[in-house]
Amino acid sequence: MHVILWYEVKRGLLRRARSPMEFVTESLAVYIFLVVAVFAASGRVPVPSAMATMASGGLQGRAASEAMFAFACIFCCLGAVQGASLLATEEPGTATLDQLAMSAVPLWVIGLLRDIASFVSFIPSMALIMGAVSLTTGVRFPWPAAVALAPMAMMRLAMLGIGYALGAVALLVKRVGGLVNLVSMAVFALALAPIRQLDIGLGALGIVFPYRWWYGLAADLTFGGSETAGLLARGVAWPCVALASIMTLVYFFAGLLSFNAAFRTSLRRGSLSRA
Amino acid sequence: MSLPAIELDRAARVFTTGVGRRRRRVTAVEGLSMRVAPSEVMGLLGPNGAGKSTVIAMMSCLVTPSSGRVLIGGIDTVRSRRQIAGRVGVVFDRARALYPRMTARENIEYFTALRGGGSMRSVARRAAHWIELLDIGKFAEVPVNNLSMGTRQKVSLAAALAADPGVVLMDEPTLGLDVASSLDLQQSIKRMARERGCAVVIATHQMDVAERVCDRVCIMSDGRALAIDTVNALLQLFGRRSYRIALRTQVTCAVEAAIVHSGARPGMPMPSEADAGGGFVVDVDLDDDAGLPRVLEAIRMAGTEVESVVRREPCLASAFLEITGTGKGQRADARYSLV
Repeated sequence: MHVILWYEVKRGLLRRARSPMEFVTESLAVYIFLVVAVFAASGRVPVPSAMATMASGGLQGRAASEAMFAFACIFCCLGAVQGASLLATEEPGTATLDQLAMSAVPLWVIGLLRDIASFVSFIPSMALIMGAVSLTTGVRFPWPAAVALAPMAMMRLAMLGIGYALGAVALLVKRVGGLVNLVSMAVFALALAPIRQLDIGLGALGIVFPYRWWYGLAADLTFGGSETAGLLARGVAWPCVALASIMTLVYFFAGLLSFNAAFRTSLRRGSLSRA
Repeated sequence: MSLPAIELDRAARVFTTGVGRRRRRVTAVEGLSMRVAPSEVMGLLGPNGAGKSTVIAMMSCLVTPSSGRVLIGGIDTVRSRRQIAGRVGVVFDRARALYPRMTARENIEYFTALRGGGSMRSVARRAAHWIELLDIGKFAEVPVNNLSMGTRQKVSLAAALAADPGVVLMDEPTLGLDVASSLDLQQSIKRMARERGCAVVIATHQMDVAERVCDRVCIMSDGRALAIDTVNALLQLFGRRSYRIALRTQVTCAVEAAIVHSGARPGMPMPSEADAGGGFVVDVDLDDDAGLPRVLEAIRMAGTEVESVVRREPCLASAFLEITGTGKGQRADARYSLV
């Protein structure tokens, strides 16, 4: 398996290296977006009135470093959300998906390996972008506390489950770009909107979407420091963590099962790589 | 008797298209049975929509049969799909199964690793071996989208073969290739089957390719196998007594009528001869050689002099047209079943 992982990492890095323009423009877009967001969070640029009304919990109400942390988490999760659907619809007009489906490794494992590979290539590029944003805005990037890495990993695992579910839809109906964008936007909204103050809509989404729980815990551990760690140590937060863990595993395995079921269905239909 | 590399046992595949009232079932393959032995090259021939690609897809576990069984090395493709994955290499038309931005070597190594090519060293060694064997060394470090179609197809072949599969499936492997690249690839296929003991199945439209490369061919039409036999056997059965008669004057309606009246059938020009002769030649098919003097006499009686008569060698293309009943001027009983 490590051989395939190595080739996946190599493939991901080579793709970026061979398309420098794509890499530079993508990174620049994220950089510009983050600079504006960090300036907005620190009150140094005017924000739309709707955003201003969310001052108690929205972008403007946050510390600039927390906004940076939120966006780092968002971009970390977007790869997981989009990975499986990209795998299912990759390289339109080619038969690479057929080749992958015929390999000795199950398609979902290839998806998982690609997710790890994309995470590996995400870290240096994100570090580069965050460094540039820090230099531009003067806001230091809050490196997550070591203890916050576990909730961040769980956050990505849960989002990977959602990614697999989207991949399942992509295997069956192919054109799912809009749906993937919708879920991606939900990740943005849940990281930034003050969902505790919203009774319906996003509030409800915050409860069923595992992203928010883990994000909240990771942010608390990173910014709350020893106080939150102390709460965890005393076992106060454990029921919540246990529930979040169960929900995460449910999301992951439900996504996985739906992906595998969709794969078998597409073989039965004979529609695996049809556009 | 050794286990066949590929066995289809009354395999059928029905697709459903459309929704609601427009929903209909299309039979792509109907009760197909065939066996392919190790080292054998089998050709799947048929007009568009005959079901060739569906057969390839069923053999490569990408489409499950609606009924019947497909076995690779005795293993059922539906029940034990994972066991088969890695034993089958596939080459698609126009080298579609390669990542265009990766180099030839990277593609070969990547797909070899996915098919269980062993350690990193083993994967690299296998890739290097096939790059050398198929003589694509000078293109190994070039991204695939910068390669010619012929080289890409060789890279596809190397990617399919590097994991040492027992079965290689090819869907229109020579499509879009120039003559030299096509011949080169055909030689590679034959050599690979002979030296590596792979069973090879080639779906193609190109009769000359099938004639040169395949040990046996399966001629398909409307999802059914009409004939499965060696190329020579089919040529003997269906290679018509066909003649090309050159006249001193233009072929007239009177001459054509006289030929038909003498009991001959208007022949089909061979693919290589189409439009040759500029209206001064006529192709005829006869049931036996005794009919030729009758035809020549009829032409003379119609007022035209014969310059030359050439007996044409039977080719797979004419046998194909006769078996599938897709040629012009075919006999009324032109559709055969030799299965």
